[in-house]
Amino acid sequence: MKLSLSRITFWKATAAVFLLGGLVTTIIRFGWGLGASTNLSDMTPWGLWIGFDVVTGVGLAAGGFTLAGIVHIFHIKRFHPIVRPAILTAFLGYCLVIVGLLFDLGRPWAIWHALIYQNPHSVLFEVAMCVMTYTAVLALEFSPVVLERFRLQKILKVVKAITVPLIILGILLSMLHQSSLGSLYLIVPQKMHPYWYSPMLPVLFFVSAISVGLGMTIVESYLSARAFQKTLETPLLRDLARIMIGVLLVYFMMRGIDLFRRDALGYLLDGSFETFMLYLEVAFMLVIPLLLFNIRDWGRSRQGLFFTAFSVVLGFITNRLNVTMTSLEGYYRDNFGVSYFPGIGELAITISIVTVGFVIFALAVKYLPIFPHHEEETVLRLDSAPARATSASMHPSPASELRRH
Amino acid sequence: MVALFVILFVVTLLGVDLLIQARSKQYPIMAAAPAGKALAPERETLRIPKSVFFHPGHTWARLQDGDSLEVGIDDFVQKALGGIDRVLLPNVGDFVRQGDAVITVGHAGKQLSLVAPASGYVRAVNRDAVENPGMVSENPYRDGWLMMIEPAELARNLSMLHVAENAVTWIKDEVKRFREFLSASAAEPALVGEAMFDGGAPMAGVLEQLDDQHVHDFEQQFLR
Repeated sequence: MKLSLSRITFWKATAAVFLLGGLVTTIIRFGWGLGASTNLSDMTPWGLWIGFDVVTGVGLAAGGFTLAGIVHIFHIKRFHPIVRPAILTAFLGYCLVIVGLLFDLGRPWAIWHALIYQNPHSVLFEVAMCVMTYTAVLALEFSPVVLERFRLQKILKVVKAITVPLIILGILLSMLHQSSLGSLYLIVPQKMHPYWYSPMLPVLFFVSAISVGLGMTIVESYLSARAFQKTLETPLLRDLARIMIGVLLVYFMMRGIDLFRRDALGYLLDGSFETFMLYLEVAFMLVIPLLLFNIRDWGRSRQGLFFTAFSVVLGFITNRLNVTMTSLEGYYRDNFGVSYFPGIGELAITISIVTVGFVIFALAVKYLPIFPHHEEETVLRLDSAPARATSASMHPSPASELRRH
Repeated sequence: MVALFVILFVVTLLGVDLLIQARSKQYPIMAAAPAGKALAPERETLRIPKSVFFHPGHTWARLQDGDSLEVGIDDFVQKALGGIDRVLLPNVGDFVRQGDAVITVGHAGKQLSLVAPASGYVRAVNRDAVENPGMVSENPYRDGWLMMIEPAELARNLSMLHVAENAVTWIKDEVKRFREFLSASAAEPALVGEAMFDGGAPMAGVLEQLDDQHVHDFEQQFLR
């Protein structure tokens, strides 16, 4: 097979470099252990892989249960075309979270122990059970796409018959573990900055996950449209953005009340790095999306919706990393003189995991019926050559005149 | 610091992507275009979706979930008008009858009234299209839909409409008829300008150049 250099785009080459970096680090990680491939220590055992790959990754994959619930439980069928891309994102997201965990666990081959040696008093146990079970549920929810592609009608019929119970189970599991990821941090109130420690963390994690799940669906629809001309209708995306903004307003109202009640607002003018990061979070997650969405023509355009949603995604990432890292940095620095910054190996693994997600999503969109089937249409090409008005006519040559979409 | 680093990294990637996009869009201007392509005028097209039913008055209807009809105006009208900057629609709950003029669209001071392609109660109107009429010109068959009707006489109404191959043949005839109409108007050349004779686009925005009487004639001959 001949490799055509003209087909290698900047992003394809960049992805190849990222994946190569990931491959090399994988060898180091599993050949020489965590010490050789990370900057993790006994003092800071949870680093980028937990903060980004797991805690942020699970949230970014929340569109699956949100959209599935809207369409299959509340019967708002208008959003039906969005369900598949959202479930694909969720399924991929959870698979990659598990991959990230395998890198992070000291003994990854013992990951199944949570199933057998249960500790029902541990939040981590609940997260482990929910993530494993929900990934299985997502595999079943996504299976009709593959079954349709390969025309396996009998199995498809069986899966479709259990769709509603599956969706209900998926929503239940998601509610449990999206909030439990926040609960993980309830045991370290003395270590966290008051901006981010809150007894309401589980609720805040759950609500913000709903909004970013919708945002991710808009982002991936825009990128898929750009790459493959496969997309969702703009009004549908705008309705999604409207719901996303509504949920965000509820979220920030809760955040504001929570900060006020815990007397944390007093730090807002202290000029610290934490305060800067909080402002950044609010800017990306609330201020910029609100402004973009309400600029008349911009907020209605596909590109405007993309930037609105992308800003929410950035804000969400900032929030999760603020909770898992920024809020703890001050404690370790002030009490132990320790600071954590991910090693090159950690960065390489995280970047390559995200790259794998992009690559698999692109392949799935290309080869599987993820986005709605675009209807066939005829495009008549009108003659633009000089012609007398009286004899102006259509060119009937079928090859150039008719184009099937 | 880790959070800031991650955000800066993602924003940098987005910035690089925007640069690449901007460069690719500038290509036709910045770089020499391949010989033979630079001077070729963009060919004008008319889209005819296969699943859409066309009323002879240049509105369309599409069956949705078996119990409602999505309604809009076709590509022919919006091209002839040169775009849409004004949309007026009936109220939700109104009963519209097939063939009654119930939709008004306008562009650059010219206004056209169009008929309902089917009878029924208006169950929804596309407020996005009313507030941002450019959507109708951009994608008249999808984002630019105008209203949703609960049909009253579906089978009888649909039998009056053109679909699939019939629609393609009908649109071809309409384009031909439109040009004959314009050539008749061209007895007064100032009314149609040079567009039809200089190799430019033969159809886009031609109605803008006609006077009100000819626009009225167009309405009577093509949109009823």
